[in-house]
Amino acid sequence: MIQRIAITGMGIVSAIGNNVKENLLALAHQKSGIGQLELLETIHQNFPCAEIKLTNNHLVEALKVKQDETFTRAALLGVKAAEEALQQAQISSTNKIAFVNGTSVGGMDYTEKLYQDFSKNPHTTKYIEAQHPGFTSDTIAHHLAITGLVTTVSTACSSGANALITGAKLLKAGKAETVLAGGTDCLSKFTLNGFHSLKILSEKLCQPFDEYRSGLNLGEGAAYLVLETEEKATAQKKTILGFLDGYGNANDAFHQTASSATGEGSFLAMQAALNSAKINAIEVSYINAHGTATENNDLSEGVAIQRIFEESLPKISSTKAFTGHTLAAAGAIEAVFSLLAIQEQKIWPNLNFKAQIPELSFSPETEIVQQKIEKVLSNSFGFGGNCSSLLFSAV
Amino acid sequence: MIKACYINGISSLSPQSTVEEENFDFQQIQTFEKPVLQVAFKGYKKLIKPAAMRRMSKSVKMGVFTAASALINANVKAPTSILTGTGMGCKQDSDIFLENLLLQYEELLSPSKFVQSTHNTVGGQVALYLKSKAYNFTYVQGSASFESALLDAQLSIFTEEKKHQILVGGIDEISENTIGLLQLDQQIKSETPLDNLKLLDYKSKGSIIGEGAHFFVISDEKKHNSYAQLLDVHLENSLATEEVILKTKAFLAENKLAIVDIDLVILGNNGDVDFDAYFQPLQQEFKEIPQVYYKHLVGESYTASAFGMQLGVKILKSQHLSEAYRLNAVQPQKTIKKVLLYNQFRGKNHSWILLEHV
Repeated sequence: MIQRIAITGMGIVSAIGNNVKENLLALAHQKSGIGQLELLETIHQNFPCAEIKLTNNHLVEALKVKQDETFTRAALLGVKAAEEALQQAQISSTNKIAFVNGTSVGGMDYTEKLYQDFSKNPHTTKYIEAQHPGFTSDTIAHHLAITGLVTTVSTACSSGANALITGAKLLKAGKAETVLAGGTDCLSKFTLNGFHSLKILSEKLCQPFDEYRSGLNLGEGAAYLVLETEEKATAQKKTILGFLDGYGNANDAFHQTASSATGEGSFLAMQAALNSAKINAIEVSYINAHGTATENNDLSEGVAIQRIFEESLPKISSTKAFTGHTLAAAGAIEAVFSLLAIQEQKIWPNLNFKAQIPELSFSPETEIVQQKIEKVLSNSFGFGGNCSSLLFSAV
Repeated sequence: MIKACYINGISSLSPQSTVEEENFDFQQIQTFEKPVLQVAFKGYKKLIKPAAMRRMSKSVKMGVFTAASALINANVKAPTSILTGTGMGCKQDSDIFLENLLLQYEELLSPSKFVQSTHNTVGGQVALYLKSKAYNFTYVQGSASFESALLDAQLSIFTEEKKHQILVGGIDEISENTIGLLQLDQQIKSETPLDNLKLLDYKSKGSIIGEGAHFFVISDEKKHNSYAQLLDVHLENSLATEEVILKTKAFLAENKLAIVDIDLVILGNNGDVDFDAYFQPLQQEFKEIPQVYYKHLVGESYTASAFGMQLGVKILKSQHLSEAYRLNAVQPQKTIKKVLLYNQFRGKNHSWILLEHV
């Protein structure tokens, strides 16, 4: 018998807060984390970013990381969020849990800092192996004493959502009893310059789904969920925060970085998520959209949403104007926001919105809406045509 | 109901591929005098149009070619999933973008290398080539990257009621720019000249590095010409050398098997004096049966074990063992029915794959 996937813990660190409580407070007070860069050294100070104002040294001390360990910033943020999730799920012994991480930047922050110095400074050679993203996951796993199944999904900006899909499949197939899944990415010159070279960064605060949107703001962060089968969570009398009842992944197969005009990939991903949850579109109360505020994404995603929901559109918002686009962490961070929407029965506002996109029939919610929320759809799309959609249900 | 996973198609590009022929038939072994084993194959235009090929990095070319060729081999038109594993992703384009960024102090950068730098570029490009909108995942987990993709194939067949034709592959390329860094990190042996066929004799740190792409078509459907059955795959992130036997026995027990049920073992020895100790307990435990190794032929890379798997699959199908990859002298006493693979890299990301004759 196929089991329902219960969420028994969540943890998060983002530019709007260092834990779930702080993130919730910022959402409820409509307080964005986007602003001037203070920690990342770059010439592109004109682009606002959602930077977490905790230095690596501060994180090393707070997390009691041993000095001889090789921690990338993504690993530090990851450990911070993961520890909160494990604590809430009352996981005291981690040696039997599986860890599915999502990351795209991985250890690029150290690679770009040390690339020209590796040969000069022998103390830095331990960061050479940190170039591959699996290294960041290994580091997090080691710190948390997870020794068994550890894997990393790297599908660009849908990595975090996809890690949750893999986690759910591991439980359904009986390959794991408890899964820690989510994503982490830090700001880096590599991604900031990459998105700048594509001319999709905005010099203003991002405006998802606005006619005059001018690009995205990058962010950083990490979030993880603890997933267990409903049967196990219930037997252990754990508080269930919600269910991951459906998921879908599809490829747009249109262009390496751009989305198709019809949003075919996102349409198929949302449809697959609804089908796997065995629900009708009309049952969805809220869509936490990918909504990066790029010209291309918001129109394509909007068209795909209209194709699925036709005349019965649920409430829609993007929370990217709070956290920036946190790349591989985005799907996991927005999974936490979706669960908080269910917990608080509140739809989070789409900040900075002024004018509807003329080609679309809907505007996102601009204020907090208190209403009954049973089912939330959360979208994440990435380079390589990768499109994912997750369906969360209330208990 | 537990469903079975069959391997119905294969294509492999490795440093043993010739300029014209992708699949290695072991008739002629390529030797190398340097610790860097590159893929010399040039026949991509058999399946990829020159215009499309110009924009492709080596990983993408190798990946798209072997993905397309594995589908032809399996006689499958459209896959139901595309799963890739890669340790480093499109390392060349990633390195070039990073170096330009550093040399040009973040000014005047072209996006072309950045857009190809994400780890799922091969998966995305395979989808574009096939016009496939199917489920598309990429795993990057060091030496367990390919095995992670393989695990997802098994999970898909176990959890989704439909007909599956899953394209699953491992891809990694050598980036000229990082060879120096790998030498600095003692991942590459320093002996010159170096004979790749004597890899296990050097007793020094590091290994030889390689590259390649290896794709498989995995289905729940058994065909008359299926290569083999994938019984199971298992990952352990970290363990001590003393635990290898224990974990191996536990994995076999999960599949209701014991050490004596295995007919052939394929090990990932890479000649690194610091870490080949992980393979020794299994060399001892399985001393009564034939043993195979392969990294002397194709070099170490995070997805070298995908070459190991295609080797295992081909041995099961042909029942032929070449001297080129024998780790011991034991001859098979009966039909080779069950093959066990074990691999790790620098004591991390241990993996076991269990294959069965069909």
